[in-house]
Amino acid sequence: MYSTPAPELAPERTRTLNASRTSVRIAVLAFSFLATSLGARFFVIPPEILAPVWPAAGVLLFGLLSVPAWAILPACVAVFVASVGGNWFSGVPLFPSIAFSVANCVGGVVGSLALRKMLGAHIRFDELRNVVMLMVVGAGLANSVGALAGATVVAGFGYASFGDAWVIWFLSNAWGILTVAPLAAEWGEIKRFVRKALPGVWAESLVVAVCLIATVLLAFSSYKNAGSIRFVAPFILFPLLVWVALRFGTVGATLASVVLTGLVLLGTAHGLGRFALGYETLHIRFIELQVFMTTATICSLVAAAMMADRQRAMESLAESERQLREALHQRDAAIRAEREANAGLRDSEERLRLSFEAARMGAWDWDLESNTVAWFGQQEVLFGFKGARPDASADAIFARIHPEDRERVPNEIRAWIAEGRTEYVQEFRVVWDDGSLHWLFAKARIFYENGEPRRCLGINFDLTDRKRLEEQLRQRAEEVEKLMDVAPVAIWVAHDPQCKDITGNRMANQFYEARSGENVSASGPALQHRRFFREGVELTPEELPMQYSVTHGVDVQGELDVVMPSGKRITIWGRSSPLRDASGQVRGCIGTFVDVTDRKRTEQALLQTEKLATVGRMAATIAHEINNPLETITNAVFLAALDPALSADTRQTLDLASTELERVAHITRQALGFYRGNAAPAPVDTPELVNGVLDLFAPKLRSKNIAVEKLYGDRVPAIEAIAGEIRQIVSNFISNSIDAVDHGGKIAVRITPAPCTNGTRRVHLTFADNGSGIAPEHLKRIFEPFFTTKDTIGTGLGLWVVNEIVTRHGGRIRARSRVGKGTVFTVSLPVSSDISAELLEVGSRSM
Amino acid sequence: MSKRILVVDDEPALADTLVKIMRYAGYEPTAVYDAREALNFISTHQPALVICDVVMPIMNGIELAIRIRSSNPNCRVLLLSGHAATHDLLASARQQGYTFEILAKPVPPRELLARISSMLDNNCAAAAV
Repeated sequence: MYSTPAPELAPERTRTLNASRTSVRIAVLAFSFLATSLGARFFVIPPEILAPVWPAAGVLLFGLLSVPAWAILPACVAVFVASVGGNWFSGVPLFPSIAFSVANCVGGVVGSLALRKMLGAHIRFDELRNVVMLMVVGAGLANSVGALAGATVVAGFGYASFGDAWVIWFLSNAWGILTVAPLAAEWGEIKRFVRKALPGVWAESLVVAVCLIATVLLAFSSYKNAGSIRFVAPFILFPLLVWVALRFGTVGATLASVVLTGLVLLGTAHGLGRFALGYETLHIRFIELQVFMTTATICSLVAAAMMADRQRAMESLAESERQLREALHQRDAAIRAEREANAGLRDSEERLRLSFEAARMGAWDWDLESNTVAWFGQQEVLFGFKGARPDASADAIFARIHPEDRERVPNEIRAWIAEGRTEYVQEFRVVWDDGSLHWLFAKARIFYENGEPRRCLGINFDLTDRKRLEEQLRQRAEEVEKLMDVAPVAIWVAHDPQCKDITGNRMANQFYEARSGENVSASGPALQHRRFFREGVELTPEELPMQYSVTHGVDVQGELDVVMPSGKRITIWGRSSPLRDASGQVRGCIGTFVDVTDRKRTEQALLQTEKLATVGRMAATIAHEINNPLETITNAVFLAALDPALSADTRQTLDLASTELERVAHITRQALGFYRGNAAPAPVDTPELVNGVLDLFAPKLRSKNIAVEKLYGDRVPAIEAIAGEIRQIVSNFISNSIDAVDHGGKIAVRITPAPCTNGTRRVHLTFADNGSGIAPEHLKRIFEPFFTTKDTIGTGLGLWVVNEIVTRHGGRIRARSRVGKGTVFTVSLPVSSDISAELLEVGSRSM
Repeated sequence: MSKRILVVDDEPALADTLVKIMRYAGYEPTAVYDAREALNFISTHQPALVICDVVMPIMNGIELAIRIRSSNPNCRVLLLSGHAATHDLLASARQQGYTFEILAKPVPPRELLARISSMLDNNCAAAAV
């Protein structure tokens, strides 16, 4: 509101500037004081020596208020000098002139100092507060002091009574103070009004000026006998002044006051108007005039100030409203921004919540000092709380952990903290409210402050499914491992696509005479080398089934002969199939094989047996075809020999023929004997049968010079048996004994009826030799098929067949042997056997 | 005791040599060459013994022997066979309650004569075999 010194000016310069401006101001003040003092003399109404109005008092007050504090004294001096000068110029004697000047100055000085003290310098009077202060302090209290000085001077010089002088002095100064000081203070407003006022305002000011002047003229244009109008008219001025004050402010009010006072004083001086009525009560009239003018001035000033206050209040209100609106706007904007931010926050919170939910994940913040844990996300679900967890303490959470892990989890964390670790991962089990067991995974970070652990933040998620999968995987692996171990087949796994690394299971290692875990690949750097044959043709490593599978990506099936480094030969049959990685590339292969060596031998043996049977059938057919003519020839030779006229020579020849015929007959009979055909059991005379077999082996026995001892018991009963099979038993034993004994060895055959046990009569056939004997470990296995110690000549089937036949006949075999001493086989056969058709069938097949 | 013997064999040469041997030994042999003729002869001449080949066309020796047993219980039967595989025939005969002994060809003539002699001398022996 007030102009303030330009801040950019240096204080020194400002002071200099102010000093020069203040000097001008002091000069103007002194001049104005002088001018208004002299001017006021024109309004002195004779015979009074005092002016009814004293504008100089207002000039002085305003002047002293508008100069800096330091310039007050010089200003007073200047005014005093001007006042004395003026009085002297008017012809007033020097002494009263000085006295009056001092009195004139006193009120202004006291008032200005008091107002400065209370309101500061550069006061404006468009505020009610300032106006009231001006009225009370300036025009009231200070003025009364000035009036005291003035009245003292006036009374002292005898111009008038002290009382009258005081009142008149007081009122004239009051008018001056109240009219001139505000007018001067608001002078800038007049210039602004003149520059900026709109035509409507000009017109209004013109109208109000005309009304005001007309009213004054009406009140103060008539003489003392002009009727009642002169008493009424002055009061009409008040609403007009209020109008001016309300519409044109302090400037309008003070200007109107000045104009009004001028006109009133002019009229009154000319004996016109209400205040010019007679002089008998001069002082009263005079004071009445002063009071009227002062009151009018006060009214208009107060109204203007109130108006200005209101105006300012309204402006202030409008400003406040604007500020409020702006504040509201800002608040709205802030609220909007916050709401948007909150929405964003809610969005991100929602996203986080959904992420946690989708991942079945939770997070936590563990305050290590208070040992409390804040939870986020799915923690409650992960720890299996049906509702909210009862307690935020870490211990309550540890209590949730499975008893087997409960100690470990906090202990581990404590240990990590002691180590100063900043991160850790953990796995543990928790038991839910519903009793189920779940695996949780934790990953966390520990925060330290000045070396002290403060917080631990981390996440949890459910590992149960993964654990279950791991367990299933482990079980599958265990099953596979067990399967590999127990499978009665050889399983090899090639671990690389070149088949350079092949390991086998237990069976496979047994086959290959390899150690557990040994790389047996024929393509790799194997420790031992095996040779492989297919149908007699040796294979290169590339041609082997597993290698072929890997190279061609196909399943391969087939049979293979393998010769071990030890020379052992086995035949294996199986299949290999490639293994593929996730992209379908062959990464290795698996081969499973079984040992078919025995089956292969059986097949060959069966083939051999079949051949023998065919030969046997042929021999039987031939024998039959031969036997009939042989009978005829035998008969013929017999008949021919009956001729008594035969020469001795011819008879000898016929005897030879007869002997040779018997030999032929014997041979054919033996040949037939080995062919069982569809034999049925019949009574078999065992000694006769054994003799027949021994006859057959006679050449062999002779060539090895083996002595045969026959010990046949008395009354050996015929056994019910298949003669051909019994013959086979016997010939197998005899043949084995012949092989076992050395040149000049001994073979004994004993046939004895056995004592009757539980109603079954039996015949025992014992075959003993003094041969090489059988080792105890071999003795256990002699009846197994294909077991042989005679690698080159044995089929390994002989004793197995014997055992089969004996068993089928309801008999038993006992074998005793001692290496280097010899072997004894005893066959016990029942006299009457009950050979079932099924057994027969089996028997014929085994042969 | 009649010394009438019937020799049945589908090979006439064999049958004829046997007849000669029997006759040399003092019996009264006759040869026929199939089972039908044999049955005719037995019904008309009531021989004491029939020496019979097993493998023959039309009717084999064992069938013939069974027929003889049922029609002429007193007639002895001796079976000869050049074939070893005659167990089935014997087994089926045994199932019907008949037991026969078969001699394998070639039978030395002296053995044959010894057997005939013992069979004809000992009536009970036939039943025992």
